[in-house]
Amino acid sequence: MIRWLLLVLMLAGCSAAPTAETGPVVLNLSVDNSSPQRTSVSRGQQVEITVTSTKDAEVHVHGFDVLATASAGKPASLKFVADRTGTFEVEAHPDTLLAQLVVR
Amino acid sequence: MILAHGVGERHDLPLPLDLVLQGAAIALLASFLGLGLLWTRPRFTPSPDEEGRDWWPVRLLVLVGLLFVPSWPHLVFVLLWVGVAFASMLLGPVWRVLNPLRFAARFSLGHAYPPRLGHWPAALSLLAFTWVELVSPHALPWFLVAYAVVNVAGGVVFGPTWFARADGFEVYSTLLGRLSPLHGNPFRRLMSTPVRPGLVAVIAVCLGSTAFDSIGSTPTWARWGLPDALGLVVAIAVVAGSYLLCTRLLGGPLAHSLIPIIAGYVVAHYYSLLVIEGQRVFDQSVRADETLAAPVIVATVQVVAVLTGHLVAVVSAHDRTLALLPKQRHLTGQVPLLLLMVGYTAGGLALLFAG
Ligand SMILES: [Cu+2]
Repeated sequence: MIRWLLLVLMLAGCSAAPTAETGPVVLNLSVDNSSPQRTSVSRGQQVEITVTSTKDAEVHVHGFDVLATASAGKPASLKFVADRTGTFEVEAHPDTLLAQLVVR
Repeated sequence: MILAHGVGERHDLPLPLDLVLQGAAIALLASFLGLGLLWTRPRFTPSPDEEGRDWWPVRLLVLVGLLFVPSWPHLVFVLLWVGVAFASMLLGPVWRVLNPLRFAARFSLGHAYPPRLGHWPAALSLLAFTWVELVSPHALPWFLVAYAVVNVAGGVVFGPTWFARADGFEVYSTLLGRLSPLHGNPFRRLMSTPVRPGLVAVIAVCLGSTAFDSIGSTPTWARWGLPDALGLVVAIAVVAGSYLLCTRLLGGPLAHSLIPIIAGYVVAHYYSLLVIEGQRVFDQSVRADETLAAPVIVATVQVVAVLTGHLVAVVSAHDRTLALLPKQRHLTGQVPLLLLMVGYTAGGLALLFAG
C-alpha cells in the first residue's frame, strides 16, 4: 500500500513537469455565441485574447485581474503574462463563461 | 465556487489522468483485499460522546470579532465553511466551542427537542448554504440573517440540543470532528455517530454539493447551459439515491462510514483555496504566496486525501456491517456498499480531473 502511494506521488511529480513554449497564446472569443473550451498555457507565457460582442460587455480574466470592455464593432483586447498556475476563467460579466485557461 | 471577484478566482489544475486511473485502481484493489483480509468480528466499540464544555468567553470573542469583519464572503466561504471543516478534522468539533449563536441557549425556554426532527433542519440549512455558495452568492447577506434568526429562535425554544442536532454548520463540524485524532480512536468515534432522522440527508448534501462545485465549474457544464440550481439538486439526489439503493434498510446505521469520504473530498477540493485565500481573509489587497499550492503539492494532497478517506470509510463500513448482518451474509452483504464507495472515490477523482 505504502509503496503504491509512493509510486503515485512520484508519478505526480513527473507528470507535472512544465514544458517550455514560446510565442503568445492567441484566443478569439465571442460573447454572443460563447462555446467555452479549455486552453493550455505554460506558466510565464504571454496570452492575447480578443473578444467580440454586439452589446456592451465587460470582459474579465479571473486570477490575473485583467479587464476590458467590448462593444458592437469594437472588440475587447486583453494582453497579459500568465505568471501563476491554476485554472482561470475568462468571463463576460455578469456570468457568461467564454473560456478557461489552464496554466501549468 | 462561482464567487468571482474576491474568493475563488483560481481553480486547481485538472488532476493528471494517469493519477486518476491509478488512484481508482488502488481504491478498488484495497477495498476487496480488505474484504478478505480484515477481521471477521466487530472490533470498534463506540466511545461515548463527551459533553462539550461551555466556554462562553470564546463565543463572546467570536461575537465581538464579527463586528470587525472586513469581508463577509471571505469569512463565510473561506474561514467558516472551509477553515472550520479542516480544523474540525484536526482538532474535533470546534464549531460547538466557537458558535456565537449558542448564546441563545442561555435564554432557553427548555422545551424538549422533538426526536422526529433529528438532523433534518441541519440538512435543510446546509442545502440553503450550498445553494448560496454555488448558485446565488449574492444572497449571502439574506442567508446569514435568516440563518441567525432561525437558529437563535431554535436555541431559545429548545436549548443547546437544538444546536447539536439542527444547526447545519455545527452538525457538519461535529461529524467531521469525529475524525480528529485528538479525541480518541477516530474509528470508535465514527461508530458512535448517533443514527438520527436526516443523517443521510446531511451527508448527501455535503457530498453532492461538493461534487457539483466541481461539475459546475467545467466548460462542458457551461456549454450545456443548464441552471446551476438543477445541477446542485440532481447531484445531491444522485448521492442520496445511490446510497439508499446500495444500503437498503441499513442506510442510517452505515451513514457514518461516508464521513471519511466527505472529508477526503473536502480536503482535495478546498486545500488550495484554504492555503491561498486563507492568507487574504483580513486583507484582500495582498497577493497570496502560492508556494503551498504548487501543482505537484496540490495533486499529491488531492490523491492522498481521497484515498485515505476511502480506506478509512471502507474499514469503518466493514466493521459496522459485521455487527449488523448475520454471519452467513458477512461477505456478500458488504459488496454493494463497497462498490458504491469505490464508485464515489473513482467519481471524486474523475471530478478532480474534470473540474
Ligand atoms: Cu469576473
